Amino acid sequence: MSTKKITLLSSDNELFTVDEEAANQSLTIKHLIEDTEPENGVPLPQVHSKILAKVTEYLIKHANEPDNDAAAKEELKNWDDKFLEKVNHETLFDLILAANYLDIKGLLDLTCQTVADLMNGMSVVEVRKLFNIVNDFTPEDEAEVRKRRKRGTKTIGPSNDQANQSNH
Amino acid sequence: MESLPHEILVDIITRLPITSLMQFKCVCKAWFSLAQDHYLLHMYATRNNPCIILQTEHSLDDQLHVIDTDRHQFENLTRKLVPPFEFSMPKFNIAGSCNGILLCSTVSQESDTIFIYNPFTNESKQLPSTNTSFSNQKVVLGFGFDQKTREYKVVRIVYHIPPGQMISYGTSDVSIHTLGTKSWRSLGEAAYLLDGRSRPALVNGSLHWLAHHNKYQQYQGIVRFDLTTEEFSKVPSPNCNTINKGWIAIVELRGCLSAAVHYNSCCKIEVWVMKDYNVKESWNKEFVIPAHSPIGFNPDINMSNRMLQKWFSRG
Repeated sequence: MSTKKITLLSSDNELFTVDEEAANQSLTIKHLIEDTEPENGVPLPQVHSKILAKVTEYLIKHANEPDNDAAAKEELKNWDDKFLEKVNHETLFDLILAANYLDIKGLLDLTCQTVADLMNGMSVVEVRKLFNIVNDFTPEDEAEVRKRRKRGTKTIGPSNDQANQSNH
Repeated sequence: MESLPHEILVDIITRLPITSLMQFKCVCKAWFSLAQDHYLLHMYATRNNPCIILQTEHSLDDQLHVIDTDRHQFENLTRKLVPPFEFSMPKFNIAGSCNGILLCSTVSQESDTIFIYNPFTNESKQLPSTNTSFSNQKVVLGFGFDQKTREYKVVRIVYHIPPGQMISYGTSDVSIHTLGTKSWRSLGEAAYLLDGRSRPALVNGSLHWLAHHNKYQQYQGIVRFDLTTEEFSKVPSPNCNTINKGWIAIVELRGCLSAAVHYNSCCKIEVWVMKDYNVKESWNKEFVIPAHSPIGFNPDINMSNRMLQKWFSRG
């Protein structure tokens, strides 16, 4: 097996060295080194060293993905959960952008799922804060959107006995 | 913080229960229009988060309820849907569904009203009228997504019944409407007499119906309408020998064309699945469901068919 090393250069000129096998999980890097190998490391001007450190950590851990070993798969899943546990929201979004730019499917999947899990149960205001979105609705527009939503569905739950009966 | 590219945002949002989409429409104008995005709805349907919509006939006719199986808590599992056209069209039929969007039409023969209804954004749109006479005709509708052009299409087949004659001796008109356009395009006569009693199954970019004998084609079996080429063609039927002896409901099951076969003679329903599309040899009997019914209860295959379609339909 090849143990060729690949050097990656972050936007702030920091160097990271990983095995070629680990680096190849990023299709962007794989294509960059396919033809010519840059002498001073693969330049990744869109990725800061702070984010590239996390990305390489992921690439090294996932370099040899277990195929049929259930215990190893479980261990890797637990590692994934811990990997993003202490990451703040800004870093999480930067990781998504890096995973998208570097074309690392596994990391993109993991980070997107983490954001989706965060959103589950959030209010509209919390979601705006998470995505750093400014509400551009006029108060009248927003009231109309909310009204139409309310009119559209009616919750039937254990608290609504009458509706429950008609549902049988 | 940099904003996320559109496709990443779609990726994240489609991981949420589909009902969250309605909630997060209020976030900003861009997210509001995202909820109308055909691609987003297509992504929802391809992800494995099924949601069941039931049309009930008790205690009031034509009530819609949604069961969101993504919700992890059992409270508020079922919600009643109130379509915006409820007052203008209180009695309606669900003529088809695709990617969670429903095709609703009036049951009566006197009018010709068709609505496209997205139950998750609570938006509906009435399709342009078709300018055809309403006496003595039978209408078969189909609704699906053309994966090539990424467009939703509604196909409408009208069989004109000559006075005092059988349906199979009349003329027919096939027309198609692409969502977002203002009119229907004529596709000429229908080469097959389709059984419009059950909703077509959408598999592999084609709508599938059972076809009867008619004067044009001595063919009885499964017919498909390809939403891209906009042409009808035959599809091999399962080797279950029941086309004449029982009832078949054509449904989609795990992306495969399937047939729920009910035998008149014995109380059972067989579920056949065509594993490789359009390959006759790949039809395989996957399940047998005993259909013993209590005395006095007449098993109604049309009902079973509708139930099966509802349960098997995804998104």
